[in-house]
Amino acid sequence: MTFDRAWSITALDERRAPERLANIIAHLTQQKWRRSFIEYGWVGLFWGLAISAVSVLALKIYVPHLSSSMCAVLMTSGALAVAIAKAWLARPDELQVAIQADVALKLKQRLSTAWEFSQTDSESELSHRLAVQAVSQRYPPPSQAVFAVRLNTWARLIPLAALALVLVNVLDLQQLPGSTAPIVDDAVVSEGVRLREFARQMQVRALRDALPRSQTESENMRRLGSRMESGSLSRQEAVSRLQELGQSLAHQRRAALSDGGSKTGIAESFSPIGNGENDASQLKELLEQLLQGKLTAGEIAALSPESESLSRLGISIQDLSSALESYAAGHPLDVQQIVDDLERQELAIDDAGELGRAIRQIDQVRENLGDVMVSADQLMQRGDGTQDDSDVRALGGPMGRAAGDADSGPMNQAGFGSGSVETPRKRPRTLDPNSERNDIVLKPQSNFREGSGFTTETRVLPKAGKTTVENVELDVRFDAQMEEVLSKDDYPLHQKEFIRRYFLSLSQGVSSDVQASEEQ
Amino acid sequence: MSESLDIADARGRLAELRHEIGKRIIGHDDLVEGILACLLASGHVLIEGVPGLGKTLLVKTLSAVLDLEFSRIQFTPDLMPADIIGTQMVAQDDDGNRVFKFQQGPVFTQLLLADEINRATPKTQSALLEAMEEHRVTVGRTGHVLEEPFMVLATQNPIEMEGTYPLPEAQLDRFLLKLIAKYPSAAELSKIIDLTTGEREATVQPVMTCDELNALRALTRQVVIAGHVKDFAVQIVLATHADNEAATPLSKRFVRHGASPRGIQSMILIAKAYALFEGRLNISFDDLKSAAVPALRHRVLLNFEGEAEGIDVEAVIDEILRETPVGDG
Repeated sequence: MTFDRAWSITALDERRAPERLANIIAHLTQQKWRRSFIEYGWVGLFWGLAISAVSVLALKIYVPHLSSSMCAVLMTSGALAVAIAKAWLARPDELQVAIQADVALKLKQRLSTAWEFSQTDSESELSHRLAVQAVSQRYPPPSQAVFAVRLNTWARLIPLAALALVLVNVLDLQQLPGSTAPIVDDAVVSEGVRLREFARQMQVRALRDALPRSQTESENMRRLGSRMESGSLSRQEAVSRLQELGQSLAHQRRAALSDGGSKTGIAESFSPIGNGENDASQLKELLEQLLQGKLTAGEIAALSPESESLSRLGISIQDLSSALESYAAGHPLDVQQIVDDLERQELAIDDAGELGRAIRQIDQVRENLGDVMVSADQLMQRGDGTQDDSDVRALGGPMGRAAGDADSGPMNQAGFGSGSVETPRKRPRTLDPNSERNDIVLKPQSNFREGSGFTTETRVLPKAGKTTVENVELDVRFDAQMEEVLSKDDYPLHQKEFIRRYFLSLSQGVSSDVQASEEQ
Repeated sequence: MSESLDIADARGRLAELRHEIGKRIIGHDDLVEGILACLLASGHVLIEGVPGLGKTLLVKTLSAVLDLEFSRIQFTPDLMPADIIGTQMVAQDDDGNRVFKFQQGPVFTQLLLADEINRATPKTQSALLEAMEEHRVTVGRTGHVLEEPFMVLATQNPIEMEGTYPLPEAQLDRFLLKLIAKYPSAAELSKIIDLTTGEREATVQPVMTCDELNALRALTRQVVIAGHVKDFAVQIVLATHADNEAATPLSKRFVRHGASPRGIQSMILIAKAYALFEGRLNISFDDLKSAAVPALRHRVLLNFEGEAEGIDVEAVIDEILRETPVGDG
């Protein structure tokens, strides 16, 4: 029944007047409730947008790596939800609805009076007469006019809030004068590009080879690379995050190695130089063929010598023999178990190899960013027993070797990682004055007794006067002592010249001078 | 609900009554409406206005169309209470004995026009108190009941005029309404000239019997008032009290005494009569607003500051009506 029909009541309908009165009030109440939802929605939308604008601005200033759009969506949705919940709780009172309808429609309080009396004494004649009086009125305005949806102040402010949110979203704080946003470090950005690219390739490989730990860590690397690339991180922050990521990678790598070696003790049993590099893969292939029924009885018998190779993988000959006997007896489960173990180990070793490359990439990036802690961290990792690729080689033999060899693959060829070769004498050594491991610094260990030691130090002072890279060159020259000795004692002249040339040759610089003088 | 007179019938009968009065009374619509409302509410009305505005003619016309007994008392400074209510007179009975016999005064009527009531002394004015409130008169030890309907229509000149005595507050409160007779407009004056200076005088016929009037008065009492409308009336009356939190700025500053409970009774009764005029069974906010000024203007007393600054009581009541919220919507 529509609202307008409800108003049209004839004398014949007087008995239904109370029912129609109730319908009218119910309809008006629904309309008012609907309007409340819309008006509360406008309030919620305005405040949602306003709070979103403020939050996005705060995010850009303080936590720039978080997604501002997600924050805006969450804030706006939350405010809308709160507003709608309030509207739901604020169900309009029916008497108030009747009072408002009376005022809006100029009903001279017929509706509200009839409703009030119908609620207190619905059976009385007076109540019935009041209901008849109320519903027998014809009201020109349509029902929607009573509680029409209207644009309130909040609704008019919504465009302003939306505009503020859009402006905040497109605002580039770094271009603002006096902005507190960090200054973009080109080195961080370029290293971020490299790191992201490395992570992408690592992710591809991890997905292809189904390496779970590498997949997770490559995603973390990619995120960090993207943040560095976006310029939102200072050098110090980038180094800090790289350190954390490196620790995470090292932890995951140790866990992968543990997974690979825990069951069968491969790590302990397989020699890093092992003769049978292809033992595991060949054995696995044979066992798989065996399971598929492609091997004859003779070929099965030929597996016996392979048990020697298998023993190097940590699987006892007895176990293998027992498995083969079970297989011959028609029970392939033991052989299948060995195959599964080998596959799991292979996977873990591949994972560890991938993580190892990632660790080296992280170290390289840190070093490129001037992190003085790289060497110390490497030493600590060595102290922890995680010996770089040698671990992987030691664990997996051919598989680990393959993983280790991949370091000199396309990434390094493309210039990523430590591709340059330096002589030990000229290689820059990084120092940490506060570190307890200062023994890694090259220092003269021998007692020269005579001669002069010349030390050349190169210090780079990037920030706050702190030395981050120190290059020490040691050069010992004996020419002064040599001349003194030759002048005191009686030596034949040709012997003196021989002696002089010998000592001068000990110093490269001096010898080159001598050569130059001779050429002259 | 009355069996003999329905709400729709009442509306028609009242409209007919007003139409008949309008044959002789030009203009004064508010005045006529107020007097009829007061008649339906069983009250008395005080009409204020300068002489010559047709107050007496209006009362005479009302008595004519209602077919009620009418008497008029011209109040003068030397008028005595006995001149109003009557007195004991020595008379000789059938046995030849001399006895006191009560001689009824002009108050023993149905419509009493107390003309220029404020020209009599307060003592004489007070003689009407019991008659107005109790509808009875006590002389000696004997009480005499007045015939219903009984209604006093008092007229008074503005108190600024010479030879007037202000009515005491107690007597003012007895009047249900205080109406103001205003000057007619130019068009109304023209009609008055045509009606009163010609050869033929306008005549009116009785259109309602006494029983019908009593039925209408009973029906008026049956008009209902909803709770939120009643709250509105209460808020209006409370706002006339300077020390009440509902008081408006004007009433806080200039009102000495606010309206009494009789004031809200008057307002509700008059509003019921107004609702009946429109054939409604319920009181509306508009009814109360229309009734508020005539029902409260003589019950709200200004303080010295208000009097000194010439504050109009109606302005105070108008402000109250504006400030008091209508419903919650």
